[in-house]
Order: sequence, then C-alpha cells, then structure tokens
Amino acid sequence: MIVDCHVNIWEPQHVRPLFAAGTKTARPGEVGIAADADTLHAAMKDVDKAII
Amino acid sequence: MKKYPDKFVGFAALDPRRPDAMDLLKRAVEDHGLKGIKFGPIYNGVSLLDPRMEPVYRYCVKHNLPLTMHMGTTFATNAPVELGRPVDVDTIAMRHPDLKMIMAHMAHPWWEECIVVARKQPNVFCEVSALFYRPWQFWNILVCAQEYRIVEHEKIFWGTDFPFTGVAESIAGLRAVNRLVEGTALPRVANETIERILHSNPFAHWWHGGLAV
Repeated sequence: MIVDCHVNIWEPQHVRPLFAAGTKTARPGEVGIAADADTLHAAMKDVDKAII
Repeated sequence: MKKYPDKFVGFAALDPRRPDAMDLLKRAVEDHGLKGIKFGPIYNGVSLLDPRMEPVYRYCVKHNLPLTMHMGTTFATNAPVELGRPVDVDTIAMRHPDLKMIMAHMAHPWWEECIVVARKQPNVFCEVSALFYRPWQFWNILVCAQEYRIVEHEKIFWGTDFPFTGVAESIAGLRAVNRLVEGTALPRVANETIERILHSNPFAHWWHGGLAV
C-alpha cells in the first residue's frame, strides 16, 4: 500500500496573489497550483489513500 | 471526502488566531467527520507554545486526532521561521504525551533536530514530503534517519505535498536518492529504508489504536 500523507486541497479563490507568487520560488521547475478535489483525485490515481 | 470516500482522509486546517477556532474545529470533526488537524505555526505566526494552542492539544487527545504540522521553513517572506523549530514539538510532546504529532517536511533545514525529537518522543513522527528535489539535503536526511534508526521504528512517512510535487516524481526521487553518491565511498540509503518509507502506513500509527480506512 502507498499512502500519500500530505496532500493540499484548496479552491482557486483560496489562492492569494502573494502566495501564488511565492510558489515560483518553492522548487525548481513549474509548480501547478490547482488543488481542487477532482484535480487531487486524478493526481492520486497511483496511491491507495491520501490524507488531505 | 464525500465525493471520493475511498481515496481521501480529511484533516481540518487550524488557524488559532480566529476567536472561533475551536468552534470551527469541533464542527470539522464532529459534524464533518474529519480525522485529524493540520497546523502551520510559521504560516499563522502562532507558536506551538502559545496558550491559544492548549485547548487544541486537549481536544486532539480527547478525540484521538493526530496533529500534523508544517515545520521548518517556507518560501513566504513574512513567515517567522523560528516558529518551525522541532524543539517546540519536543516541549509539547513532554507536556502532552498522548498527543500524536507529525512534523512535515522533516522540518527542513532543521532535519537533525526533527530526527532526534521523533526518536525520543513515542508519539512524534515525521514525513518526507517535498524534499526530493534538494538531492544533497535529501540524501543527508535519509542517511541520518537511518543512522538514528527512526525508519525501522516506523517514525517516517511518505508524502508529496501535492500540488508542489507529484506522485510519480516523488516516488522516483525517493528511489533515486543514492544517485549523487554513486562511485563514492559515502554511505547508501538502504533499499529497505527507501521502500519502508514509501510503503509506510500512517493509519497504523498516527491514531491510538489505528484508523480503519
């Protein structure tokens, strides 16, 4: 079993401009910030469970 | 959770600055069935040692709710990173020994502090989400965790911090942790360590008596 113990969930209106700008420095490469339920479900297709 | 009950287990995000924080927490757990609490001291600017957190700790213990926390640093310029130090988790763990706490992101860059606190406190755990893309640091973290033996004592868990990273790249990053030390005499993160973290089960450890999912 694979469990993703750390998954964030939010709707687009929860993402403020300052946070969105900050994500560009979070890691190398592009960071997608879509994290609605349907996006999470698709992203988690290869894990058994996810804690969100 | 209602839309995808077979996949997701939900935690409630806590903002202790709100005067109605405990009411919201109770609604999230007792009305909506959320199974744990998520808190970010550096995001809210509230220390784990702040008196406003005491009712939260007592509620978590009473209702068998794990408290997972963003520990360590972040990219936000206005986040007071001093509030992300694992030593604060040690203080709270001694005060509330039945409170299950999880330090996210190995509290980087204070991952050694994170590892020693997770080792000494029976109800404190840690997890490796959003670390693989700093390969030198990640290798050091896992070697240190291996040497302190917290992996074999099931204190480390796997995660992505999605959407900041994805499942496939996080798994690949974990399994490739030894790549940068190939051809050297430096120690390896054992395959057993890697797979143990990847297949770790928070439901067996984060709740007293486990959580049936």
